[in-house]
Amino acid sequence: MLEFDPTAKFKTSFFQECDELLLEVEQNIAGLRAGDAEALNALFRTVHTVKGGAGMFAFNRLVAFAHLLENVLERLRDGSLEPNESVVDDVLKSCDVLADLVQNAKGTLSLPDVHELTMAEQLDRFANMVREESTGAAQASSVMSSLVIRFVPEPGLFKRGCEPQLIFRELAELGSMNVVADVSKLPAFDDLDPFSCHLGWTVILKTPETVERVRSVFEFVEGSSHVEVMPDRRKAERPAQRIVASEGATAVQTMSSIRVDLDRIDKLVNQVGEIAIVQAMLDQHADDNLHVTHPQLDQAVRQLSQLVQGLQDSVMAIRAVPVGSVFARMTRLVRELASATGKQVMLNCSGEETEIDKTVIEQLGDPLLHMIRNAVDHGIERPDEREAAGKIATGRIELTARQRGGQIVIEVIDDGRGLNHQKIRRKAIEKGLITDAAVLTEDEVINLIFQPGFSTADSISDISGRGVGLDVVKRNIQKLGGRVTIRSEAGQGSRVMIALPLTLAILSGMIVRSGSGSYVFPLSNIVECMHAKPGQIKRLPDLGEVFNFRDSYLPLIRLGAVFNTASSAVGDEPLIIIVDDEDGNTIGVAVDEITGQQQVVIKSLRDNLDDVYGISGATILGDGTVALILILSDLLTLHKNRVISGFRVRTPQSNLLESLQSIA
Amino acid sequence: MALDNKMNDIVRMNSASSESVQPNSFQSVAFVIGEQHYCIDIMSVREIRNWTGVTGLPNTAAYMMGVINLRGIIVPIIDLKARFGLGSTAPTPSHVVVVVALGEKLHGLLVDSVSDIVTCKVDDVVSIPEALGQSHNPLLSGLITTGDQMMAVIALERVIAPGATGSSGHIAA
Repeated sequence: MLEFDPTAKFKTSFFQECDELLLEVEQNIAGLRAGDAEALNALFRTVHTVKGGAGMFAFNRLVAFAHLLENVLERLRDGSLEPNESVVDDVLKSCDVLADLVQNAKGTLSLPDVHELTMAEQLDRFANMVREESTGAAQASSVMSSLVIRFVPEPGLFKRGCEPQLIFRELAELGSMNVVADVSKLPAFDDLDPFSCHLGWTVILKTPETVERVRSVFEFVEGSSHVEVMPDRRKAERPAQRIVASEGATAVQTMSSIRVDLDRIDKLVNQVGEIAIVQAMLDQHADDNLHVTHPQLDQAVRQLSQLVQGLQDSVMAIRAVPVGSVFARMTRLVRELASATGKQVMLNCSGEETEIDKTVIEQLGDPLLHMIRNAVDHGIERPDEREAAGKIATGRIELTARQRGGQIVIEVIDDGRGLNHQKIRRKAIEKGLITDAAVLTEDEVINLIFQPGFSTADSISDISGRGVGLDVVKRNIQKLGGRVTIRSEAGQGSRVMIALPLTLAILSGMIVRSGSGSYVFPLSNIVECMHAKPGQIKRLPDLGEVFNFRDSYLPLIRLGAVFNTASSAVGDEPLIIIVDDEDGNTIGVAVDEITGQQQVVIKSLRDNLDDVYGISGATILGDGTVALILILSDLLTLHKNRVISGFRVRTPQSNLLESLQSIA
Repeated sequence: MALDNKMNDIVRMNSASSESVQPNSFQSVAFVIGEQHYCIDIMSVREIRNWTGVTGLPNTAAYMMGVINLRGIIVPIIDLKARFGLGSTAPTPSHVVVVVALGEKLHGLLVDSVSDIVTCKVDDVVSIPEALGQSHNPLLSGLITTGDQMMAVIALERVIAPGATGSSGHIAA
């Protein structure tokens, strides 16, 4: 048996709350700089909540530091401390320390004992500086005292006719109070004796009354139960009234949202997905004559279809979060990078309110971080260089998000020096990525920077230039079903565009058949579908088949051939689906038949299976069978491996095969 | 129908005998491939179902038949006969898929038929003769004789080895 910690559940939700609150800190700090009073309040609430929760679980180190930070925020709130640059910077740093301490309390980060010392001293200095100036005001209004009352009744309390509720009512008349119940002694439900009292309480009472008056409330139980009344050792309560008031106000506001475990939402999404599949099944069986033979049934089926679609949209909306939470981190990153590199950079964000699925957001942070880092480190020039080039000294980076069709497009645009084609080319030859004689288009040259092991930074800096990066960025984005493209003009800057699907749960797809298998093409990749005419397909030695499409020749990939499955699409006039793959190549894929176009629910193969090359996932069709979702760039790789002699890209399968051969 | 009865038997026997299982003994599901009897620990068996067809996976090993939809979960099906190198099965509706769980992962094993639930003593399991030279990758963990029959105990974690599902001879060709 695992050891059972009765508070574990509460701890988990406390840490969850901490994480979420601390995420907003950056945004609030930015607001603070702009003089937004609500940002300060939000910051205050964050620190206060962390402190409160930490106190409950006796994370003393966290409490102590949060308390100091709270002091300073308090001064900022009552206006006795000016929110100047150095104060705000230190508040931000303190929030970082606070986050570290939260991690420490969680047990995921070990910190030296002196970790928070410097910051604590600094905070203390700010707090005291203020106190000296405003001592007079502070003392005048302090009449309320705060008392901590611990009340642990004996189990037989009820039998003696005592009712804790009456005691609390009486306490409530003495002032405002905050009660926390200790449920640690509560037995399991089956063992519960409703006639004995298992609870204990800690009350923080803010009252003008004396300790004796408060103690008198417990007169009848004091002999048998454990009662402790003592002044709150935390500081005087002058501004506390204001906190309470503002907390009351937010409590009303936040009632309109609830905290739900992501697992539950995932389950809901899955179930709705199942319903959508059954719905598709129904549609398939409801034949064209249904409205004649069973008009009411037909109507019901149609209505159900609409409802299910609506349900699907609503469920997806639950998981959608504004992209602003990721952007907020970038503002800070840019400031830090700028000061580290001695450059002047301004970041402008727009479209923060654009919403994406939470799972996508989680995966977005790292790639974005990378792009911004690159923009500051490689893109933006030093102030003197910029002025020499006739630009203003401060570089601009724009970070934008917008929705376009079923995709979200995120762009990082800088007005720096842009990509240097010659330099990239030289570097690529140096690293053996291309040969000296290779003829490449501008786009192809730019795309070289996505190759593994590529970096043009002359010296490896702390920030970037280690040569691991862009290829990883690209791979990660592709894994999410998105793509990255770069446009750049020398001297004018670069524009990196990341296009991502809005959700990882549902995909608009075209369902095709090839041989006995069903496959799904992501609709966003499809350019056009066509029937090849006789003579349109040409076979090139060593390059496989190509076909003529609007005055250019595209490679033709026969799905049955690359997947080694029987296929009838072998003739000269196959059905061709023209697609842009994830790398931006346009290719034609020959299939047997297009069976339909629908929203499919993405199921992971990974749950039970290793990666299968060329397949990103699966879905379940209306008839209950499984269709496979294609990775188009992988198809091209498979195709090249098959037809081009000497061309060999490592796939997981080829690695495995080699290891198998080496065993044999 | 025969299968349903069998499954009912399994369920009934399982619940009826759960208390009567002795320490040092275990129950296993016995099944047949060709002439040979095999068995697998009942605790790893999730369900038994008729063969209903699969969606093939491209460029995977010959014994990886494909995937099925098991109430919304995508489950890969392994042709056990092919996995043992005994040639591939031509499945019919009378073939049976034994759905097994290894850790969190679900797999289906295609077999000819499920024959029995057997209670075996741990001590009765004898190891595979080393002379057979299987030791570098034993798909079987031992042999049991019950009555006049010999059953081979399947080493599930090796039959469903990580990486064993994705191999192919075609890509490198």
